[in-house]
Parts: sequence; structure tokens; C-alpha cells
Amino acid sequence: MNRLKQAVDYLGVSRTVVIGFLLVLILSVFPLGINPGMIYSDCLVRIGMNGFLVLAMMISIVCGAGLNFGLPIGILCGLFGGSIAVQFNWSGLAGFWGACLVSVPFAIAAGWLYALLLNNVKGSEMTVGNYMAFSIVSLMSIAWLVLPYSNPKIVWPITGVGLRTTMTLEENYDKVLDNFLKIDFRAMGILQDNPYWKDFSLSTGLLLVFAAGCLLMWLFMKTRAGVIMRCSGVNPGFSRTLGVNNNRVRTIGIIASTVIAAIGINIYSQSYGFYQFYSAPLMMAFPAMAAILIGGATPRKAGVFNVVLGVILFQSLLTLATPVANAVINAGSISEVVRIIVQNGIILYALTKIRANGGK
Amino acid sequence: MDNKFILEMNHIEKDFFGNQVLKDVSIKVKPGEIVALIGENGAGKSTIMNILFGMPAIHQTGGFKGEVIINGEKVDIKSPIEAMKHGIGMVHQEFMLIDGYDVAENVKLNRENLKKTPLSLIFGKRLNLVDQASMHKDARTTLDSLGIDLGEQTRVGSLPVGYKQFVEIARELDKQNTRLIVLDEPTAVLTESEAETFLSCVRSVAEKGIAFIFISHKLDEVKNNSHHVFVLRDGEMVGDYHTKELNTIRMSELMVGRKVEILNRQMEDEDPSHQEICLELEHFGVSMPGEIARDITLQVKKGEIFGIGGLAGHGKISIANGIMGLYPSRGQVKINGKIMDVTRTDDTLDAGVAFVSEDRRGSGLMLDESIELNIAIAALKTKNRFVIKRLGIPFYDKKGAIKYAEKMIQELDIRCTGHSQPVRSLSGGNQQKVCIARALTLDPDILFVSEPTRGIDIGAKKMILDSLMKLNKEKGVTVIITSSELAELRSVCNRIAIVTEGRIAGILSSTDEDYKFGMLMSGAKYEEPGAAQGGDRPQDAAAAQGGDWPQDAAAAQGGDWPQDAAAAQEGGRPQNTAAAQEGGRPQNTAAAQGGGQSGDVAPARETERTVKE
Amino acid sequence: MENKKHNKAVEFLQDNMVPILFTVLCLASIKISGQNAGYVITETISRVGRNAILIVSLILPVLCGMGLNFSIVLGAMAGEVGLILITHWSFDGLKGIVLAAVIATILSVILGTLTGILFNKVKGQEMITGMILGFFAVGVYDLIFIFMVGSIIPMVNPEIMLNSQNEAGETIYVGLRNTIDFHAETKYAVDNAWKVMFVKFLPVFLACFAAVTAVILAWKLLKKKESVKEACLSSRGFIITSILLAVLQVLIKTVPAVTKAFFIVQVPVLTAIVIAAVCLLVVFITRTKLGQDIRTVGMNMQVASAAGIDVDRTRIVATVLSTIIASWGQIIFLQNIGNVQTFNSHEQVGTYAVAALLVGGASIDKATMGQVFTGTVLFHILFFMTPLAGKVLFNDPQLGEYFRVFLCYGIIAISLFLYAWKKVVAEKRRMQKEYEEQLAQLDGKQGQTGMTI
Repeated sequence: MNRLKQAVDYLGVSRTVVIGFLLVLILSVFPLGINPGMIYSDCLVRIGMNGFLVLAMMISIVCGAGLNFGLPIGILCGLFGGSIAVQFNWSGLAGFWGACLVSVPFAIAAGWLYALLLNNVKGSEMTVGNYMAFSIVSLMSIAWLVLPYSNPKIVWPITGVGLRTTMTLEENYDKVLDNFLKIDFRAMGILQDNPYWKDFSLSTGLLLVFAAGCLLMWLFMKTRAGVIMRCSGVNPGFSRTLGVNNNRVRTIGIIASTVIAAIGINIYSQSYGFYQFYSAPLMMAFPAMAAILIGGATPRKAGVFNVVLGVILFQSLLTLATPVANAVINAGSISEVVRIIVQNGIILYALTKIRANGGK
Repeated sequence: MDNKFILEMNHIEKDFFGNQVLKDVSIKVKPGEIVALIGENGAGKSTIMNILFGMPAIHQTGGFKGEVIINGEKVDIKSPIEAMKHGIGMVHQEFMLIDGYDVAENVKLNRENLKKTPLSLIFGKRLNLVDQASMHKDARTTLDSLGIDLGEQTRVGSLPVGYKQFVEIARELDKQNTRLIVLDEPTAVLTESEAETFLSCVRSVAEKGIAFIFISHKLDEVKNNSHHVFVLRDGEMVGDYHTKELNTIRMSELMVGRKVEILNRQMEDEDPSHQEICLELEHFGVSMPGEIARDITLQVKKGEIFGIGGLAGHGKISIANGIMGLYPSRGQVKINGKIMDVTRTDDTLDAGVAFVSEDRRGSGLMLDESIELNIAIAALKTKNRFVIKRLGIPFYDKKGAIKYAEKMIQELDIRCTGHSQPVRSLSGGNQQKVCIARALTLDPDILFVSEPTRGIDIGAKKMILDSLMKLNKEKGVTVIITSSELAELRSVCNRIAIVTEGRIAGILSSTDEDYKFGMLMSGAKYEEPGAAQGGDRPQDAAAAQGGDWPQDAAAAQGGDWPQDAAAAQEGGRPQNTAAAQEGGRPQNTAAAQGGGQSGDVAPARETERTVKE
Repeated sequence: MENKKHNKAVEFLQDNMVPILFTVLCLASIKISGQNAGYVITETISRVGRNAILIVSLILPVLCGMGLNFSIVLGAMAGEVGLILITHWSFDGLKGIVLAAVIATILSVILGTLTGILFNKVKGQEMITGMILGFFAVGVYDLIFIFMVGSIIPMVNPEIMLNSQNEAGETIYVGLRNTIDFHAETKYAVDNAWKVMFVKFLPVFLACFAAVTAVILAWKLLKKKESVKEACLSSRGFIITSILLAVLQVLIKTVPAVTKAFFIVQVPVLTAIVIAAVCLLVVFITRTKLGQDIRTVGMNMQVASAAGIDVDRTRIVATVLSTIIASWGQIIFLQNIGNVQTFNSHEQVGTYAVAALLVGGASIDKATMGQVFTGTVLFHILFFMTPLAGKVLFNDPQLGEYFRVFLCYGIIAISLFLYAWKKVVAEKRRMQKEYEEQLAQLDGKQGQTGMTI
């Protein structure tokens, strides 16, 4: 009982409620007749898909730049790399990593510029970052239209110019990570007579990549550089007295965030099966924010534990909500609406908890 | 004058969480009187004014004992608005003015003249139209009654600082029921002429029957402008004097004098080996908001414990901060003979300098992090200590840091539940020990400590000062302590520099008499003839004249308000003539007059002041 | 003299860079798209008419120091609910619209108060909070009007609701349709109430406007005793508008091309009166005690608080008023369109209104009526011209659309950036100036010209 109380204190009442609610949803799958194997696999896939984007959010918080409203900038770099990959018909794991590789230099440059911007507007990073990101996404929309893509699979059929809004990755690297070392019960013939678990599958590759990302991040936080970065984010005034150049630390953190986001969108897209251009990146920062916040982070403090817990909670909640809601009330797309409410509600709550401004 | 008092504060006692800040303080003010309240920082002046003004900080910490009587009636003021209703006004140090409004709008802030409208009948008086015309007229009347030449339509943001002060007074006076105005360091940011205009305005208002409580560190202004002086020291009322009974020397003695009882340090004789200079400042200035240093020139000897004292806001805190590169600075800094670029903090740290900040809870600690991280972090960054290399990448050696932290916890007797306890939950004294531990981990040659014992209980105070002395004795570390507590400086330091108005007013030894400290802090320049100070310090003309206390010479003049007398005599500004004689730096000669600020204000004297028309 | 004039001109350009830039863009896109003047003018008047009030709603929060109120979405939703209800109750025509406005006002008070309370918890970050609140509110709105209407909230209306079959085979109605057409009498009710041909309207309007300008000038000269130069400067908005109108009148009478362009244009006079009334209301409020308090709080919260003003309450009042005006604005907007896209009409209200205000030259801490109208005109011309221009230039209207979205977000981003950056720079400069002032003071006292360093 005491241990339970300790756990509740550590996690906070609201988080415990969320976890409890999630457990209810997880278990309610059985009596409602939803296929547990499939839904749990979906949950795991969603976790792997979104994980890197939430990691990108974390490093931005750690270095002191707060919630990264400019995540779409990194996502655009990643999409650019992806568009190159598809343009040149790269496929398989090599194609996937190629896309990521191409994105990286652009992400570094974009991250550096974005950091320069943020360092000059301390105190207004969220608002300025958000609308900068929005305008760059719109600018890139024009770019997607005019850049000289030529691969007939990805351009508009009639005009032959400009990327399509979504492009399928079927012939490239659709689910290439997902399928890597995949444990598919159906394909492997395990537990096929069990109605609950026969459709379960574990996308090992995807989860391995996420785990690797988390591990690298965790290790980084334990290095000398990581400790100093964390101190700079927690108390910039204090770090100045240590001779730390806070602006430099923030720049490195934002560049890292942008690069991780660039890789993250490629992971997301390969699992989803499509690259989505034009206005899709606009709103992609917010689910990542909500996830890390529900995992216990604040706009001033975040750790790998918050990332993992948060992405598990948030994505499982979303995945389970639709079928469960559909089974209970005959409501069509209620999960999308619930997602908007929950996601923005979490962010609003976190915003009210930021006390004035701290440090220089 | 009436015998009835407009304000009586009787036997006021206040403690903050067991820390007794005011012990049986009583103040009485008659209508039309100007009463001065003097004392060192932390003596309790702001606290007693906060009580009078009903500030939330008082009520949220347990209220106060004693009674406040206004115009014969006992009152219980629980908020600034109630204070205003009782006719108490306040002119703050930081201007409570809206730059974007004109003078009239500021004078009438939240008391604007209104006209009814049809909508306001339905929706309430907030929809009354603001009657700008009558507001401007009223403001004009008030300004005229103060004799201030200021356009009521001038935008306050464009006013020079001196005029802003007038707008504040005009605002208080425009409230018809104002009977007493508290002036909190009103001339702190004014030039001489502005200060004099302001104070003459105050005097003329006082003649109309409004009382003033005048808080100031400028003892000459106090001498020349008040009827009564109340001296606070360490929360106790040292005395209630008619101003004519005191001179500025006596005032500073009363403010400062106390038994030096904390530690009996064995003053070592000047060891000849202690002559090497490790830190040299030349015309060093620092721009730290609220604590501006203008021209600091001093030399610190290796191995000594050097104190930097002075009143709040005069710049002593900024020196260490400037050397560490935390605020913009100018001038030259030499460490061990090498010229430093202080903006490069890591260079300074590498040169063996460590800093314990006065802003303990702000930039001094990471409050939510563990004791061990707080102690280890500086050395981790600067000296690469607590690093373990794995695959060539430097990792934080947490285990090593923990072991070291535990050693420190024991050595400094840091009361905590363990090395992983977040620093936030430690007491002030223990937090300070963590800060010191962090600085010690750097193994510095020069250690700057700012306000080491502020807000710390007496036991921890002793501990901290002891550990600093031990450090100095055993490891030969040069310790430079900046503190507002003169007593503590005098108990541990070899030499103490007093910073006034951003400059070094003088360097004394801890055995020097109380009044000398007081004089330096109130602005007189004093230098012990023959003392080896080193550096570029201007010689005091008065001292050169024969070691007489300067103001005695000037005291031989009689007559009206001192400055009129002086003006009448010379037909000009006193200090200029003196300057012409000297050819030296004018402030010495002004010092010759014992002025609080070098310049116009003429000497403190001992005759009864008469009303000037 | 030459230098001073030159500097003044440069200063004017710098201060008004944004509206000037956008004027150029507007003219360029009109030229490129090759549309005829008549169409442009009609469309502009229509758009300005329906959007103006929405942009006016942004003024009070700006004055109160809360920046750009992205949460006017909530007011817009309140307006929509009002119109949906009157359509549901078949209470149509002008009186329906009045009822809708009343309902919207009540809803706006509630929503605005909640918003204000939220804003008080996030002082300093009101803009981003307003944006996220907008998203959140849209979610709640969707939840209510897609899922709860008809099921938890009993409501049956085949005309405006979606139908489906439940298990028993009965038709049930849950959720509103995506588009709800207003009834014939409600559509364009305010616009059509009184339409006058522009060419007939202009002389009358010009006369009234000139008269008002003359009265204002006279009052300033005689009663307030300002000098001629001062009076002209402070009422330059009125003077400039009068002159422009007069020029227009002359052109219409003399140049046949202009006459032709304006001949088909009709002015919805009642709408114009409503807009004028709302503007007057806002101006009136700024001159009241409430307005004074709002401005005081906007300039310096600490001083306002020390002077005894209830800062939190003032901010809530400003937010509520903003929400109410936005709800009226949305009603005018929708009656002009004729129907409501139940789930889309309010989506970009905040963004477009803010962008329009900024295009007019306003900033996060300063917004005037003149900037509102300049911005509305410029923004909306650009809004419908860029896709057409895009079609001509690139043979792709889509490009034009993306360009206008980019301009929209871009102007907001740049304004926010410049404002934040200026604050940082101004703070540094202020500290530097203070430092130098203090030093100069003391140096001056010494009788020296300055310290050598």
C-alpha cells in the first residue's frame, strides 16, 4: 500500500488517473469483442511510429528552449529527404536510411537558423516559433509545387509538375522497419487457435529503432555535455556563472531536435505507408507535445522516462479510443474529436503551469 | 506646531519566521513635520514602512505586534488601499508611473475625473467617460501648488528622472486627504540640483501641514531637511533626536556602532610575505541594475581576507559579478598581473577564481537538483573533475561525485537527508554551505563570496565564516567578501573597502572606529594619512589640511538653510571655488565640506533650521 | 531642412512598411490577374463589409496588453450557435438575426469569462494559449454538435441534422449537417435590408464624413485649443479619408472608366451602419474609465495594480468584450455568405483576423481603428486576388492559394518576431542608457567632460 502511495505521489494524481483509465480501456477490449491481438499490435506500432518525434520534443525542453513549436521545420527537412528517396526510387532498408541521411544536413542548417531566431526572442519562443513554423510549412507548400520532381509516381498526373499531396511508399520502403524481424503470429502460425491472440504481431524493427533512440538519448544525458546542457536548461542564470554559453547550448539542442524530427518523420511515414506533404506537417508538433507532457514532463524539464511513458499513454489512448467508443456508442469519428480535446487540453494545462519567466 | 500627533506607531514588533526584525520600535510624527528614518540595510526601515502601508508581505507572515494610531484613532491597516484611505501616501524608489501617459493622467491614476453617460446608468460606473479636460485642470492646480514647472500634458516617458519624482509627489498631494507621505530614498537617482529642488518642494509642502517620513542614507540631506531623526539599528530604535542635536558624524555612529562580537579573530600582523598583489582593479565599472559601480580602483593582496562593504545600491555587489563577467563592465582587471577579459567567464574560472553569488536561490543553485550535482557541477565544467571516459566520451562520474559530496557534507556539516536531497528543501544556511562547497571544489586561488551570511541563522553564520577563515589560513586562498553586514566584515577581514556611489570611498582596517565607517558610507571621503593604500586614489584635500574632520571647518558658519548661506557667501557653488584652489578632483573638496554628495549641498551644521520662504 | 524632411520621409516609410508593402502586392496581383475593376470593387466591399467587425474585436485585447487574441474563435462559434438556433426555430429575418445576436452575446459572456480566467493564469503567453484554446474549443464544439446534439441533447430537425438508422430500423437524428443553409428571409438579411447604389451613396457619405471631420477639427481648435498643425496631425485619419472620398467622387463624375467600374456596385447601408455603430462603441469604451483602466493595465500591470486597479478583472472584461464583438462579427459574416459551414466557418477566424490587423500596420501593443480598416481592405483584396493571379502567372490557382496562406502566416510570424526582438533590444538599450546616464551624471558633477577609460 505504501509503495502504491509512493508511486502515485511520484506520478501525480492526474497521471495516475490517466494510467488507470488506459488500463480500463486495455482490458475492456475483451468484453467488447474487439480483437485484442490486432489492437495491441496497432498500439505498439503507433508507439514506435511517434516515438522519435517525442524524443525531438524532449531535447528541445532539456536545452532550455521549451516546447518545440517549430518541430514542423525538422519534419519538412525529413520530408524533403523522403521526397528525394522516392524521386530516385530508393527502396528497402537502404532506401529508408538514405532518405534519413539526405535529410540530416538540411535539418542541421535549418535547426541552426531556427536556433538563431529563438535566441533573439527569449520569452516569446513559443509564439514566434509556432508562426514561423506555420509560415515555413506554407512556403514549402509552394516549393513542393515548383521543385523539379520528375518521377511520374509522385507528381500530379495531369500537369506532371509538383508533388502530389500524399505519395505511397509501397514500392519503396513501406513498413520496412516494421517488418524487420517482425514477430507475426499469423505468419508464424503461433497461437492460431486462440481467438484473442491469433492476430498479434510485434514490429520488432520499429520498436528496436525507437529503443535505440531512447537509449542513445539516455546515454547522452549521462555524459558531461548532457549534464551541462540539462543544467543550462534548468537554470540559465546559474549556468552562466559556470561559464556556460547558454545560447550555444540552446543552438545545439535545437539542431539536435530538428535532426531527430527529420529522422522521426521518415520513421513515421514508412510505418504509415505514405509521405504526406503540403499542410500535413502544420499540426504535427502538438501530438508530440501532448505526449511528452502527459508523460510527466513540463516545458522546463523532461527526461527519457517522460518520453517513453508519454508516448505509450498518449498513443495507446488514441488507438484504443475509436474501437472502444464505437463498440459502446455508435459514434463514427468520435476518437478524432476526443484526440483534439485531450491533446489540446493537456497542452493548455501545461501552459498554465509555467510560472512567469525564469532565468536569462 | 500642534502637540497632537498625526501618526504614532507604538511598540511595533515584527518577526519573520522566528527572525526578530523589529524589536519595540516607536515612531511619532506631528503634522507638518519632516521626520527622518535612518539606519543601515536590514535595520528594519522598510519593514516598518511596509507595516504602515499595509503591505501583504506583512500580513502573510503573521502580522505584527504594537499599535498604529492615525490622528488619534487606532487603525488596522490591512492593505495599501486602506493606507491611502487613511491619508498615508508613499513615493516609492521605483517609479510607479505609466510612461505612455501624460503627467495629468499619472497624477490621476485610478482616480480619474468622470462624467456620467446613459450607458453607465445601465452598466455601471466603469462606463463613465473620462473627463480629460478637468483632469488636466486639476493636475495643473496641483503642480502649480508645488511650484513645479512642468507641463501637465507632457508624456511621462519623456521626462528626465528628476521630474518623474515630482509627478509622484503631485499624485500623492492630489489625493485630497493625504496627511502623511513616506519618501523612500527619494533622491537616490537625482542629481544635486534635482534633489535640492525636490527637497525644497517637500519643505514647502510640509509647511502646509503635511507630514513626511523621509528615509535616506544621505545624512546631509537628513541633517538639512528634517526636524526629527529616528535611528534604527538591528531592528531596535536607537534613539529619537531633534535634528539640531545631531551632526552627521553622530548619526553614522548611531547607525553603525555595535559591539563587534561575532568572532574574535586574531588579527595577524602585516606579514611581509603578504604584499604580493593578486587582484588589481583599475577604473573598473559595472552596469548591474540597481548596483552600478562607476570607478573602482583597488588592489587585493594575495592571501588576505578582503572585505567590500557599503550601503545597498551603491555598487559593492556588482564588483564580483562584473569580474565574473555576469554583467557588462569596463575598465581593467588584472589577476596575478595578467590582464583579463572578464566577459570570458571560463577564462576567469580557469585563472583560479571562484564565485559564491549573493543570489543564492536564483543563480546560485539549481534548486530542484541534488546536493551532489550542485556541488560537483562547477568542477565538472571547469576542471573536468568527476569525469569518467567510456569509449572516448566523457561521462559524468556520478558515483565519484556522490562520494565527494558526502565528504563535503561531513566537512561543512551540511544538515540534510542525503546527497540526493533536492537543494530546495535545505535551510538557508545549508544551502549556502552547498554553494561554498561547490566553490571549494574548484580549488580556487581567489574566492569571491557575496553576502555569505544573509538570511542565515547565527549558528550557521559562524560556521560559514569559520570555514572561510580556515580556507584562507590552511590553503592560502585569497578571500574577498562582499557584505552589507559591517560587523561580520570587521570580524574576519584584514582590510575593508567601503563602496559609496559606485566608487571606493576608502579602505579601512577592522579596528578603525565606527564613525569612520559611517562617514565613508554616507559619502565623505576619508583616508588615513600615511596608510599604504596603493592605486590611484585621489588625496583628500581636507586630510591634507591637517586631519581635522572636514565639516567642523564649515560648521563655523551660521544663518539660514545651509545651502542658501553657502550660496550667499560665495555667490557661486562652493565646490567650484574649492576646486579652483586645489586643481584636484572636485569631490575631495566637496568632501571637505562633508557633503553627502559632492556638489551643491553645503555642510552639515548644528544650528536650528528656520523656515525658508 | 533638407535632411529633416528626408528623415521624416524615411521614418514614415519605416513605420508604415507593412501596409505599404501590402498595397504594392495588392496592386500587383490585381494587375496580374487582369480582373476588371468593377468585380474587384464589388468583391472588396462585400468582403470588407462582412469581415470588418471581426477585426475590430481584436482592438481591446491589444490595448489591454494581451496581444493578439487568437481565441476569438470562441466568439465566432457563439455567433454561429445563435444563427443555427434561429434557423432551428424558424425565427427568421432581421428579427431572427437580432435574437441570434442576443443568444450569441450571452454565450460570449460565458465563454469570454472562461477565456479571461485562463489568460490570467498564463500572463505573458496569452497569444499561444489563445491559439491552443481555439483548437481545444473547436474540439469541444465538434463533440457537442456532431455527437451530442440529438443524442444527449434532445433535438430533432431533419432540415439541419444528419439522419441514420438505428438497430430498430427507426430514423434517428444525431449531429448537425456540414452545411446549414439559412432560411430565405435570414439570408443576407442585414445586407439586403437597405441597398443603395454606390454612386448615389458616395456624395451623401462624403458630405456626412466631411461634416464630421470639420466638427472634430473645430472642436479641437476651439475647445481644446490645439494649434492647427497639432489638430490636423491627430485627426489625420479623418482628413485623409475625406480627401480620398472627395477624390473618388470627382473621379466618378469625370472619368468614364471609373464611372463604369462603380456603377454596378451596391452598398449595404444597414451593414455599414452596424459596422459604424460597433466602431463607435469601441471608441466610446476606450474613452471611459473602463477604457482608461484597460489601457493602464496594458501599459504596466504592476503600476496599475499598485494604483489599486483590479488587473485580473479588467483583463477578463476586455476578453469578454472582444468575444462578444467577435460573435456579432461572425453573424454579419455568415448572413453575408448565406449559410454556415458548421464545422469549418470558424476555423481560421482567428488567424485571418489577426493577419488582417497586422497588415494594416498594427502591432502586438498598438491597434487603431484606422489600422483595422486599412488592414481589412488590403488583406481581403490580397486574399481573393492571389489565387486568380496565381492562375495567370503559373497556370495554377493552387499556388496562389498557398501563397496567400504563406502571406497570412508570414505576416504574423514576422510581426511577432519583430516585436519580441525589439523588446529584447530595447531592454538592452535601456540598461545601457541608464548606465551611461548615471555615469554622465556623476562625471558632470565632477566638472569633467568624461572619464577616460
